Amino acid sequence: MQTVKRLGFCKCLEVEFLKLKNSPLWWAVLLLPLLSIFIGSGSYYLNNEALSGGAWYGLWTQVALFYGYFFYPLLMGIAAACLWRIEHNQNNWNLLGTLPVDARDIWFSKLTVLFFVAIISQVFMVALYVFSGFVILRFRAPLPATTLWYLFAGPVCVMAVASVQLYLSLKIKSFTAPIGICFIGCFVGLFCYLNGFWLFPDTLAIIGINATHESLPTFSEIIKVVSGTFFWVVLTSVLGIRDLHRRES
Amino acid sequence: MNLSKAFNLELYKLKHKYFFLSWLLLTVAPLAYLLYNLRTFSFSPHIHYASVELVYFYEQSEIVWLLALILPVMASLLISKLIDLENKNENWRLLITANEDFKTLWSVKFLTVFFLMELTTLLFYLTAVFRLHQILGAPIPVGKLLLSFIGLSGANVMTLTIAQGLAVFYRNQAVVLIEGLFASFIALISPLMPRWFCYLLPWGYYALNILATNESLGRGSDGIMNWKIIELYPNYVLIFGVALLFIAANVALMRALSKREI
Repeated sequence: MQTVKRLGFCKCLEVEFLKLKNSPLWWAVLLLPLLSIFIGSGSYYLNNEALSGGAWYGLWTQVALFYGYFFYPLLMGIAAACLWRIEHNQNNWNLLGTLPVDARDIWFSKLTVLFFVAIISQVFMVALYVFSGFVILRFRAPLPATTLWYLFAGPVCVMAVASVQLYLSLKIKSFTAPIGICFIGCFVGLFCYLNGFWLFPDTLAIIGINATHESLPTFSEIIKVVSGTFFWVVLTSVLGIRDLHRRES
Repeated sequence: MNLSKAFNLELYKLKHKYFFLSWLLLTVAPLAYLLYNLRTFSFSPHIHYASVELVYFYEQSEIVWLLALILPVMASLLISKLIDLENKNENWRLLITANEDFKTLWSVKFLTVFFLMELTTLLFYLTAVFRLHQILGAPIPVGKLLLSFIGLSGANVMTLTIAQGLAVFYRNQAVVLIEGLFASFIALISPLMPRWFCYLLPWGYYALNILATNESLGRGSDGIMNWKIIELYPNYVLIFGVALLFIAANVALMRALSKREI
């Protein structure tokens, strides 16, 4: 008897990237950091007397504040909704059920694509930040070590929001509803941040972007943020894969 | 089909689509945040107000910041949710063959979302003004606040016209949502930008309705920045003029897209 060859993780990843090939999402990925830098640099130039801390830190507060609090998590919300959009259309869940593909591969390929989107956006943002500091604003101070934290922690910490959004977009058929929830989550996250509750997904993203602290987070803060993100990713992955198995059966 | 019948059908269609729940949540979360901020309101020794009116005006500017963040996203989300049913499976054409008027449908959808955006704006204004009145006990500068509220309605017309045009033109809902994200970003940063920037972009018109801003007085002996609140005078003639232009553009867009669907 001929056995059907299962499609692996790499094939799923390829398919997920194909879905986003001509997506308007990439415009947002490129233009939001560009706008943030353009406006943040202008704002820094006009208000640098009022800003405390070093030049690089002052610039980061201006470029990353709104971006980190609202637009970066929302970008993840839209990306997650785009990734499930085709599956929710017409009878595509039934079609997917007939394909020899494992639920775990589907889930983790989508999560990997989201991580990729988060990295691209953050790398672009940090590259523009460095360019703006050295070339446009002509800072003489060397680039602080915190830049590395911005580069790595941003995409890692935003994965808590991304994985929750991926799960919500899987559960909710509507394209817009999970994005609305994400928007509300931004406010709840900010509220939790102001009150010292750090486990909420959007709060983890805010801590990761680090737009209000002059120094690097302490070791215990880093442990908290990373373990919090890990918690959300694992929780939503377990729930998401279970849901996918149910749909297949 | 008359307008009221169309309204009823539109509401009936949305019965199980969590449309009003989306609006409610989009309004309640930022409103709770505003209330939280107002709860902790106190006069800072580093902020100098020349009159009590300026306290109201400065709070109005805070509200406009919040509204500038939420209204463009709300417009995109709600209008895309409303239009998605027609966009799916060529339903526009089906409706036209059933003798439904595209222009009525367009107007009803516009008015439904516009009404909800206005309601959100009103709720924010009322919450802040009454809370401040409770704290200050001073008379409310109703005239200026009302004018700024109508000015914000003009900005809402502009935002919604663009969102609706995109939602009907592009079947992919991601387009209008990403536009909403950009619009929100532009509207949010507009108060920080020079005036010409706000005049150029429709979403910048939220910032043009701000009634007060702060001006640096330099650092005090304690090393903390001191600020003076100054009144701003929005150019309502320009705001209403541009809003009227957008209403005309909305009608033109409706006619053009109606022909496309036929």
